[in-house]
Amino acid sequence: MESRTLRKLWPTDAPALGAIRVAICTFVLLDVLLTGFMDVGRLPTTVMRPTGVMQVLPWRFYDALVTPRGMLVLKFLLVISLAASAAGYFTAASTKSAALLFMFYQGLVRSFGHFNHDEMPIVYILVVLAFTPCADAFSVDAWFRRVKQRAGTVVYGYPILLMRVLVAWSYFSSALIKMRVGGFSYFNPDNLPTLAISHSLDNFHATHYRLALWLPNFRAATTVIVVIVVLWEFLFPLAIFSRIARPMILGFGILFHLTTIFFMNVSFPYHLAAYVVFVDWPHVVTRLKKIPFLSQYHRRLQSLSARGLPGTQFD
Amino acid sequence: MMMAGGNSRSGQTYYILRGETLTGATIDLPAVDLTNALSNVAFGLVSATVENKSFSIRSPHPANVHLLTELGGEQSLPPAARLPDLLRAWANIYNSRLPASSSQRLRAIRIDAYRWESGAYSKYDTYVRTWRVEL
Repeated sequence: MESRTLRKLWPTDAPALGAIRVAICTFVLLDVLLTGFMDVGRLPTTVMRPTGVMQVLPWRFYDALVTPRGMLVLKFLLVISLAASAAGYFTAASTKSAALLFMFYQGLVRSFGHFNHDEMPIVYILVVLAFTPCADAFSVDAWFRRVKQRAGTVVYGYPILLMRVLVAWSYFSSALIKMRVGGFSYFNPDNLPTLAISHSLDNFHATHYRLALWLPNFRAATTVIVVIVVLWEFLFPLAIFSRIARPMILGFGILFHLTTIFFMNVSFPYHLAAYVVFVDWPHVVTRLKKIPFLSQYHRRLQSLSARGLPGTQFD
Repeated sequence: MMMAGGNSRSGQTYYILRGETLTGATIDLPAVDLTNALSNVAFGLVSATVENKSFSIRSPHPANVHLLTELGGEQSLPPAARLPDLLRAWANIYNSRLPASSSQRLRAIRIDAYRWESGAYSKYDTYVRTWRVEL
């Protein structure tokens, strides 16, 4: 595809891809740091139900891993890999180990409970980052090793396109499954109240809001809400290309995911974090540079850059 | 997002994790506070454990295979065979966060099962049964 056309549709330069690596890896790193791995290590492995490739690993391995010490080792490896990936240090290796370890960790927690799909887009994004030149900007590697940014739009542009497609697919496929499994009965006025209430009765969810109990009073309106949500999911792929549709689709996504916390006690922080792939970061920085205070800061960064800090320039 | 539809006709069973402190008070124990790594998956863990699902996978844990052999097969397995182990683990996590002298430490932990009866937006908490473990 013509480079100019590509550039109009989505960012195609090294800083854009580098910024996504920094944002995603930092988000996952913070989440891992705030998670009590050692507590998982106190759970009995006899309640585990490994699925998929997790079944390949022997029980002796799980018995050794699912201990406070074993889980601490896993956390340590994850933190090292994610911190290195976020900083862009030994990026070729660290992004691969971060993707592999995070995928394994997600498989491990799902071996205990419900097969939640919130983290899936981030797993996909980490895999894409692991095999693309995402350290050519905003990275320690670029700083120390004087990595030269590659010419052309394909090498940076297509990974960003692929990540956007994968996030959009998460929503689009969700709408497809709803229609395939439930058909038009998914729009039944009892569907949303029942689903929301069923997530609000126990104390095994992250939050314990009871707003769902009000929903039966608005049964007719809930059909309209569900129709709008399914339409939004079907239209999500427009966010990949359309600058006009993108703010509306992502804005609705933020509203939707916040609403599910209060009405369904189900949160999607990883899906929300994945929205960073839809942000044109170099464009954002160009806009920010126009703010007087930030333009001064930018000039300082440029002087640093002149002394050997590539990846800080957007011009 | 939320791919499964709600089914108001079938009703549903749900669970509340509770602890009994040394002072005799009963407290709610949100499982996600105890094991926050399971924040989005914990609600499937208890129902799967109550239904002994870890015994019916292709290759169960050797300790589960041993228990099945001892009892003479899956049909002889009592419901929630591994639930006491899970409850004990959660209680130990809770108690490990408190000083040894704290009166807030648990002396027992339990899971109360309730049923939301089908077809009505009421009767959300019909009591079903309790599994309780003394520590």
